[in-house]
Amino acid sequence: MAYSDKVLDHYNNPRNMGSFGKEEDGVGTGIVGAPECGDVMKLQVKINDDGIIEDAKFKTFGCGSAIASSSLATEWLKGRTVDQALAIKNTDIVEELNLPPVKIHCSVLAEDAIKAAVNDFLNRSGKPTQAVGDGSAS
Amino acid sequence: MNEIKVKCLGCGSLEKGDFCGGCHTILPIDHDEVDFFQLFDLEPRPALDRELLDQRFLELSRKLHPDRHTAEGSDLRLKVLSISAELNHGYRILADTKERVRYLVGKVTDQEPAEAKQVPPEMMELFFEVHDLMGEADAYLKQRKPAASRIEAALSMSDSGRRELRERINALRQRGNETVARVEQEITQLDAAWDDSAERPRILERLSRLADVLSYMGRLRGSLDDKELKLEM
Repeated sequence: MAYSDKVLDHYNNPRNMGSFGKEEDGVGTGIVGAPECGDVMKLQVKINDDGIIEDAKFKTFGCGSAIASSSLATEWLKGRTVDQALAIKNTDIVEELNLPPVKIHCSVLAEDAIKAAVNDFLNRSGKPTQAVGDGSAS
Repeated sequence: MNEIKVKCLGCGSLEKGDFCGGCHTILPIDHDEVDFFQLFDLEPRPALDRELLDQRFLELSRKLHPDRHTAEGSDLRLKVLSISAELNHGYRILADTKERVRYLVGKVTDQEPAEAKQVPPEMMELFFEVHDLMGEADAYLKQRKPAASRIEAALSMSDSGRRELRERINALRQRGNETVARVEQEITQLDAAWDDSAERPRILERLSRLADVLSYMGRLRGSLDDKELKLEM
């Protein structure tokens, strides 16, 4: 199977790879996995006092599409509000990266990771959270 | 052919010979209905007597190998071929702990084991260490120049950067193996409580999670092996 140019670009030059300290102020951490393929994705957001995502980082253990999906997600997250971040759908990632059907689960994983990270931030700052992995992603 | 004693995979009745007395016909196998535990005459439970499985597999394979039945009628040959395929498939499933546990959970609950999106905490730390080491290995591979000669290649074998990476890969692989050994051990413990029906739901849930851990560990090991191979080249 051939990867799209965009996937290859993110795979070869991943944006925002790395991590923040879990306990740092304003940091939310989401770690999700797909047991079937063994992929694991860690995505972190750093949110400022205005509720804007200042920075985002990821570490993904998986195939090229999983790495590209999380790399793209961190790019998109920067500058967004919490609500805008939660509005990112896996289908947006599929479209942008031109993922084939067998790789759609990678984008689902990225969406779950975003939600998990944002909810971790909300949890830690004592705000109400939204459901993660409720099956609405497709 | 008359000596062949296997369970009829068509109607599920026991110990029929070349024809099934239960359904009086040679039925095509319904592949969805085949129970691999039954096929190998093993009890469906978490732990498995691997020697017994191997022994049964060899016995059945010897009797049912398609090459032994080339002189039979075409219906029978087809049946043998079909059973033989199930034998191989079943052996692969039962011999692999992850596959067997998932298969067992699926059989008992009559549904696909649910996968948890939460990464098992016991492998989180290992995963990040492997991730970082893979990054370092990639950086090393990127800067390394291809050897211009055999002597140069031989010399680079003792390159300290590479040696260190290989040692760290081995250390992580070792920790992965230890995790797998702990999972195997826990499966044995769960097996001891398997017959207690009150414990059953808890055991099934735990088995699914352990299968997940094995799946992740397989992935980690694959990455380590792959990177080691690249370092060898």
